[in-house]
Amino acid sequence: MSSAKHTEAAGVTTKIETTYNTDVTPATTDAVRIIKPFVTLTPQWAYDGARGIANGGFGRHVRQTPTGRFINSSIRMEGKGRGAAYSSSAVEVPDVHRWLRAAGFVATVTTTGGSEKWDFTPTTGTGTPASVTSWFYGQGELLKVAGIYANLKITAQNTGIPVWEFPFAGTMATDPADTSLPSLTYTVPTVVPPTATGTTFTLGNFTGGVVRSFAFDLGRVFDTPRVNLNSSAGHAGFQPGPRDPVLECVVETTALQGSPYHASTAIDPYQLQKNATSGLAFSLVVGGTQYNRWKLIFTQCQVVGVEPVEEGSASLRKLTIRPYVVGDQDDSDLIVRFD
Amino acid sequence: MSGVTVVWRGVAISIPPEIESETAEVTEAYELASFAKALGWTAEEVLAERAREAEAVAAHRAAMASVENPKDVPPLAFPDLTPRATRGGDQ
Repeated sequence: MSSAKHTEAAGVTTKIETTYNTDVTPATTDAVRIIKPFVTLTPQWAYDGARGIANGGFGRHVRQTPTGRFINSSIRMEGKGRGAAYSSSAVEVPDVHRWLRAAGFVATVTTTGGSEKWDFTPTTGTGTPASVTSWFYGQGELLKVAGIYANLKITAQNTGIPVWEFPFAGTMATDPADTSLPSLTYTVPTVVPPTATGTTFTLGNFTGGVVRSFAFDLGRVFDTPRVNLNSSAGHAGFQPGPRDPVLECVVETTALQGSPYHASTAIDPYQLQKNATSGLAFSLVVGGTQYNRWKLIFTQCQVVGVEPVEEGSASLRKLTIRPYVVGDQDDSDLIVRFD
Repeated sequence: MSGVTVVWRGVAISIPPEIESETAEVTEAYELASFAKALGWTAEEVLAERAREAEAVAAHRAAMASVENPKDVPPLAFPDLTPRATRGGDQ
């Protein structure tokens, strides 16, 4: 007896492509652990087949077949470390590793004993960004998506586990197929992701802030379509573009600090914004255990916005922080680190 | 596609995507051979140095765990490696 399809049997496998937009057939060992709400992929079309209104009438003509199928969706995960030393390039960060590559990051692993770490830095404008193929199992079906480029968002709305979200776009050359969820092999499933509690927050000299929440958005353009008439698929994939990283964090209001306007327990964000104070170092460290912690580092940034927020009787400020590069052809604005 | 960079003791090598997409054993063998080539060492010498390093890390962790204040234990640091070809004298 067959039972109704349901949403819980969901899973995703992801692999780095060697040739852009060519399915590299991710294996069950290439699984990445996703969290609810699970991906619900809606196939979209570069040309939806519409032919317009009938001449001399108000009706619609029969449609042509649609062409150029693609997916523009989003996937959510938890960020965690390996729980053991990153001793070679084969020891990847669990789950988010390949999606960070798809989000335009170059991966560098340091394997020196005791200092092992993965650093993800933006791909240079002259470099070739990585793309991934992902197979999405869900609701009793398999959807194969290739040529995926992504953006990155990291959100901590409370003291729980921050959510890593990757909005993405890719092409879908193969039709959905009835497929049961296979037995997927996840990387270190026993390692529990760190929570946002105990996050080390640093903005210049300001380290003692009471931090309510943060939301980071890489702001990467990833879904400029490359429509291709010279292809039966009608779609050659996507073209990623520039990034516009921004972090919004909500902190309790402090006394307004005098020049240089940022001290350990006080800050004057109005002056930091007004003076466009540059050279502020920013970092968030989530997790306190080596090999199960991650860091978001802005090598240099500025406060570009201050907004009062009320939460009951609590006085809060939403600070908008933007990292910047220090010259053309420079990519030193941000680092995502697992160490 | 861009590959992955591996840095060990100040020496950087690149893993091309076609190797990256192979199994862990293949990429690790490629890493080993690349470091040996970059340093002018044999693969056995690289393995021996890595084993020595792993022992030092384990000893350091044991020392940290055995004292009341881990800050009393001097930090572990390994010198960057100089390729043999540029060191001279011991080719």
